[in-house]
Amino acid sequence: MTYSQFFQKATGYPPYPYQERLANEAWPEVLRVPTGAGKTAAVILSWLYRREVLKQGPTRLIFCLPMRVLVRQTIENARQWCEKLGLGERYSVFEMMGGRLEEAWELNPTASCILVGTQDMLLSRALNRGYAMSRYRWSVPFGLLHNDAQWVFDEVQIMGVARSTSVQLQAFREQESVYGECRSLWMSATLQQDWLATVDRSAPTGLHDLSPSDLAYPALNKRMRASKSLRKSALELTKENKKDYPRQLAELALRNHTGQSISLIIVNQVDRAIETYRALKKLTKDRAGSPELILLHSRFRPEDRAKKETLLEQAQKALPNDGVILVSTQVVEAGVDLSSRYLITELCPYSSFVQRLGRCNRDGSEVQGGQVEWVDLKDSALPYNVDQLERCRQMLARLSDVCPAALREIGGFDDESESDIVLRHKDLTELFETTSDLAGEDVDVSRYIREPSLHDAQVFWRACLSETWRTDEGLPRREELCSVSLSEFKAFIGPERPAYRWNYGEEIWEGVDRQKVRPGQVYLLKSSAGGYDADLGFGREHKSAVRVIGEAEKSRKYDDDRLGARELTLEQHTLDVFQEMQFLLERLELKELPIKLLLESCLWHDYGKAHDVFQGTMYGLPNPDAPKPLPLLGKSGQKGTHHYRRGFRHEFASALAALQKGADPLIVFLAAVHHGKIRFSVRPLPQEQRKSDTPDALTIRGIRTGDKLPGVKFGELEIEETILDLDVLSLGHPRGWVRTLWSLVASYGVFRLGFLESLMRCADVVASKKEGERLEVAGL
Amino acid sequence: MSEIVLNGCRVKPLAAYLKALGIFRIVARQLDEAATLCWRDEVAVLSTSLTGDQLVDWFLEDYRPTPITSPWNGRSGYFPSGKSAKKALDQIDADTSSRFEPYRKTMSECRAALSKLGLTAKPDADSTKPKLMRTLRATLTVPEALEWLDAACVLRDEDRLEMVPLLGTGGNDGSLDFSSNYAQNLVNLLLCPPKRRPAVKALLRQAFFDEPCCGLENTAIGQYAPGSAGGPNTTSGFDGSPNVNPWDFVLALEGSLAFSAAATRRLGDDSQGFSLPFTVDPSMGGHSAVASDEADKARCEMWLPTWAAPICLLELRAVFAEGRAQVGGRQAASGVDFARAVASLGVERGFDGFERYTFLVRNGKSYFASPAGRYRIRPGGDRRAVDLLTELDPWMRNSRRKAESHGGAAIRMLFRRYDDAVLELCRKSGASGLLPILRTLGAIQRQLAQMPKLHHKNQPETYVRPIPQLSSEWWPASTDCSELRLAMGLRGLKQVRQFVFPIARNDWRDESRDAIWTKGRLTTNLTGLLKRRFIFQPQDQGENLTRFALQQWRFRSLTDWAVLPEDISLFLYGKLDDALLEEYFMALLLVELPGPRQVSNHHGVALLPVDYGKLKVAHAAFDPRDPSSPEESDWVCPRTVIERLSAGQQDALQECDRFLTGKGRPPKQRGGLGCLDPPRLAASLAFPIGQSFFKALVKNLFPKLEKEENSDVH
Repeated sequence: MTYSQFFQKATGYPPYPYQERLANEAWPEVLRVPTGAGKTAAVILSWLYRREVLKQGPTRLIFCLPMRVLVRQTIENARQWCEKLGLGERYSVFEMMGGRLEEAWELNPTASCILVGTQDMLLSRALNRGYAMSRYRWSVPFGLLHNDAQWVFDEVQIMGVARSTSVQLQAFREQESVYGECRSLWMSATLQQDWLATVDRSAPTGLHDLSPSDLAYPALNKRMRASKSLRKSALELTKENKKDYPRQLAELALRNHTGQSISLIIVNQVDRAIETYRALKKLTKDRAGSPELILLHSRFRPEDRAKKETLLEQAQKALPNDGVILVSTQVVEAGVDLSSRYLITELCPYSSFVQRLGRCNRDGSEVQGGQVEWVDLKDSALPYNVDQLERCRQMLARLSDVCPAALREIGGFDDESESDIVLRHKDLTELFETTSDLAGEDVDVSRYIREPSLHDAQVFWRACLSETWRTDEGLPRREELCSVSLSEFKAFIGPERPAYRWNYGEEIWEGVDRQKVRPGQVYLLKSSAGGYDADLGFGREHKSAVRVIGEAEKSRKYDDDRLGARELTLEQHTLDVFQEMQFLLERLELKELPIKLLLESCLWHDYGKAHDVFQGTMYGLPNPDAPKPLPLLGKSGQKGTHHYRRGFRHEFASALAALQKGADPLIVFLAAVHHGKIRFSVRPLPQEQRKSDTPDALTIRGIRTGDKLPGVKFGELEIEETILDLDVLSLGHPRGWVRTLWSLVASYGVFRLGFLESLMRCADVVASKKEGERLEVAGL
Repeated sequence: MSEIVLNGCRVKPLAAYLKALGIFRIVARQLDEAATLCWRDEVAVLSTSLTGDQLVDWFLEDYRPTPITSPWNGRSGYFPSGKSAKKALDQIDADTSSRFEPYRKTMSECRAALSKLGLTAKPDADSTKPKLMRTLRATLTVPEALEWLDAACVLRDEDRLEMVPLLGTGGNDGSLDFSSNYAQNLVNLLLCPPKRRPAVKALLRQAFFDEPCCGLENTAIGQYAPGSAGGPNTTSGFDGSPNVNPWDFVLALEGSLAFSAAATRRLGDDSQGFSLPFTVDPSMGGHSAVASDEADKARCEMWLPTWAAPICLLELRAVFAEGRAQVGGRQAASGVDFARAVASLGVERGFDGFERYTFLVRNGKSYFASPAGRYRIRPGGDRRAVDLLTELDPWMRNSRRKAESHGGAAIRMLFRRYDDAVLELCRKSGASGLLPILRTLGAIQRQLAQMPKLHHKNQPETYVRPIPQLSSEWWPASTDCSELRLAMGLRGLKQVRQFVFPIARNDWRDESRDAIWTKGRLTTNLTGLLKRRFIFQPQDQGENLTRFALQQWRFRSLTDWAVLPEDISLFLYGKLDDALLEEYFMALLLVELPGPRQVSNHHGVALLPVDYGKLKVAHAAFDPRDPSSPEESDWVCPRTVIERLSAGQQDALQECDRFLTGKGRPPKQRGGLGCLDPPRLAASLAFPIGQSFFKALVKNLFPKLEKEENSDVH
């Protein structure tokens, strides 16, 4: 099948020439195509074509977007295309955004898949500090996102600091090397190559742009030549008119609005959008012939937002007699398919401005052309800065007709990103250690993901009436979530209006202080706290109780620690994991994998379960000294039992034994990390020492010097009895823990090591799942 | 591998410690990845493939200096104000050897960053400096240059820089710019004319091996070696100039980079203070020579570890990045915390001790790292006493700062004494160290009780809770101190706490009229206690608390109190230190009562004054013939006896005699006070005594009675 056929089958249209080139030539690093010219289809379909027809290209396509709206649209399209191509079963599309995290792909490192998500969710995972997930699983997506994957960063112009982070990560992958390919593609209508130059990587050379043959296409041509006139408005936002400004803006819009058309007002702050909307409502109240009013910003729950978008869609299809005025924010800059006749926008950075222009006479269908009027800001530049606005002001002075073709010729898209926070290699290496620091805090990676002024959190409301709600309430569904700016949210919460965060470790909703609120996280609010209005969105001033739309849905999660609802011998489980790893390795077409060591690691990984403490728990023996029956069990079928030594970790015993027996350092590492709870720094739990039965014996994660692991034989591996010795944790031990593991990082690099870790954990979890299913079928 | 004992690198002063790390870092990075370092008898020992002599030659010929340069400082050589630094940088620029290649590269990148930001003078601390730091961190390509940046300061968020105290305020201290000095010393040592080279070598040998040499220089060493920094009384004249080996400075600064590793580890929490490895808030305890105003200006404390097993650079980086010092499940925040972490093994395994340094303002506005003692790790030591301190942590966290800032100098002094006591406990370990801590706590509680302005719960900024009750594990073990035994006896009195402090249910009750304890004499307080207990009307049980005061053992499972007849005797004759007794009592009030103890002996009852026996028995509240009988309500000596005695009226004794006689128990001899002080005699009645003690008293007082009883039994 040719690409053209493939494309047409998926979309119903033939591809533009540039789209065809993308499928048949090596992928560039930069794709510069105006909005509406089909970038998303170009990329996704060409990847699918390469995988499916040409049998090449990396396993995972990671589509990273700056905004949640874009994610939804991209997902819908991608799923539709897969469906139409009949590939729906073999190619899964996963959604990765706050409140809607699909995690099945993490268990299947060999399956082709498309991950579409926000920069927050994807980059936090790429930095080994995944937002909204259990800290113990951080390294699983980390390994998969950096090996055998193609990253695509879309709408780069609004990604802010994430742009340099994405380039740096690419640079480090190239320095350290990874398994398979892992490359990046940056796309935007206004992207300049030199935006992508960082201290560790020079600007990419390959640029894919529209060619004259693309421009000759009538549909594309009409878009590129769609005329729109630009003028500066007499209205300005100053210190003096701050209060009255929304009304003045509303009046201006009403004056210029003509019936049977859409007018669009874009302001830079949600507050101003709401005030303008209110002013418009007041001005048009009881006035015949008033246009329909719609407010759209990012602080809505999906349900209410969808209502507004439907209104807008309907209005576009069949315009009401008096037309529509839409009041909005940056949220329409990208991804909202909308074309207005008249556009008022506040001054903003030039690349954003160009995006906004795209929302006026988008397809060139306005006969007299579109009208754009911009409002100068003399008072507050937030969320942008004064320099960015000044640069834009100067550019605008040179423009009159702003059709896309004219803008292309003029160029002038300077790097307006203000961010100079750059991820360095030593930072990344430090992030590989996921043990929380001694204050129990984790490194906050948000500085590498988004500008602080743009930090967002997700909130949702629940009634929380029952006494046990803190453990009963499940995680939210997407429909419940409303995104709020971090600063607004911090101002909202207080003693009367507490916010709660899900503690993945303790499985409980715990109250959070204002200072501890982090970007990208999901917070629960009590519905009685108020804070939301269906028409206006999130706002501190809304006092009445918020309608709860979520059911108490039990949290969706897998905990690899608790899997195994049936009794199973240790040997059987070990061999199951071994087999699963074999199965994985057969299907992975990656070179240089340390296959032998990976398989051997499977045989070692649960050896620590032979420890008396673990066997005592498996057999339900309350007395530590009771003789342990045989066979050694790997799973007990009992849930929620506690070891008689607090904090006992079998994987630590496995790793210690492997280290003492001189196994390869990789085996020690993989055995240690296979639950994500034991890593480089191993220290006793805070209370472990004091509460143990013999407080004088040094106990670390339930292990003491002198503890015995019996000899075992798992497949080809025969291990003699091991007497565990915590001495290897001491500094300066010739085969010391710290020395062994950090040397391993130095020789493999964090990306490769992370990938091997992901494989180990996938094999373990999948094998356990299959065991469960198998035994269930057998009726055991 | 050869073992090189670096006699010039010891744990003291700080410069020498850092020098060891510096040499180790350079060798492991540039020469021999497998090199290791350990400490033997407080001296650094390096293991590497070269011999000591070869190492010296390698340093002279091949060592590539880390590009330590601070373009954010005015005198760094990048701006007009730092002429000597500029000269040094120019000389490095003009050099063509490969050893300075990274340095030159970094300098040109720094210049590029400055010109990008249009900076021609020292950047403004609040606005342009963070911006410059961010730009440098985003553009410097030499990894070591980045390490220097992270060692000197940390960017917490957009515009907040945190300076790392080990490197002053961003690589300078006052007008001394470390990087400028470093560059000048490098030029002096490595770009010198050939004829100076033997001298440079001799200096290096001195720096490494402490071999004598001449030619130490008048150059600044900053805070790292106070003893070499010059100043009054440093030499035979009145004032000496600095006497510094330039290598010491260069290598110490190289060593400071060992602390740079973990800049990103602690960016998590913006609500708390910023924490760095081995660096904590200063605790002024344990310094005998620090005045409290100096204490206020101290910058921080650093606790620098030593270890006996050779470790490689990877390990050093990992443990220095973490800087583990845990106490009660959290990271140590102050010097006292750190000492506790060391004593309770909350530090990395493998360290054998820590050298404590406090950065104090001395010598004008300059800082000096003063050594403040060595803390050894005793793996087999008794940690339980130190662990008990965690009971106080919540209170200390909530209240200490408020008490110190609103409670005045006296409280601050007491807290300092508390810190001293804790540090002493941590150094010596063992339960006997708890008592001095308890004493300061008792004094603090007493002080707090007298400050009603700190008692208002509705004013959270100044509200200080009473110190909570500590577990009975704090109770002192056996003692040979009379004062302590008497205090323990007093503490055993039922409900005694409320008569001393206006405290109930762990909160202040300033309106309480029971708390009669004043700042006055102990005897007055004790008789006051007895008098108050006479009229005390308990709400729940109709008991007369005076009885408890007199005959504690009857009403508790405790068979005996530690009080011995000789203690009473010493007290009666005024031979004890009343203030100490009172201090112990205050301390023990904080502790829960322990379970029953062994009976103590009652030798020496016969030597007690008869009057004491009479009074004690008269107030016994039951018939001494049969101590196990239920108490008789009429066996209560009139309270006027105690009242009159405490007023100094000797005839109260006759009233007591009359009472006993009226009860059919005439005492064997009439009283005569002799040299006893009546109020003291009254006060002595407050100490509860044990059963055997009491029986002996009765026997002594009514010998006949005892005989009758015995004949009854037989």
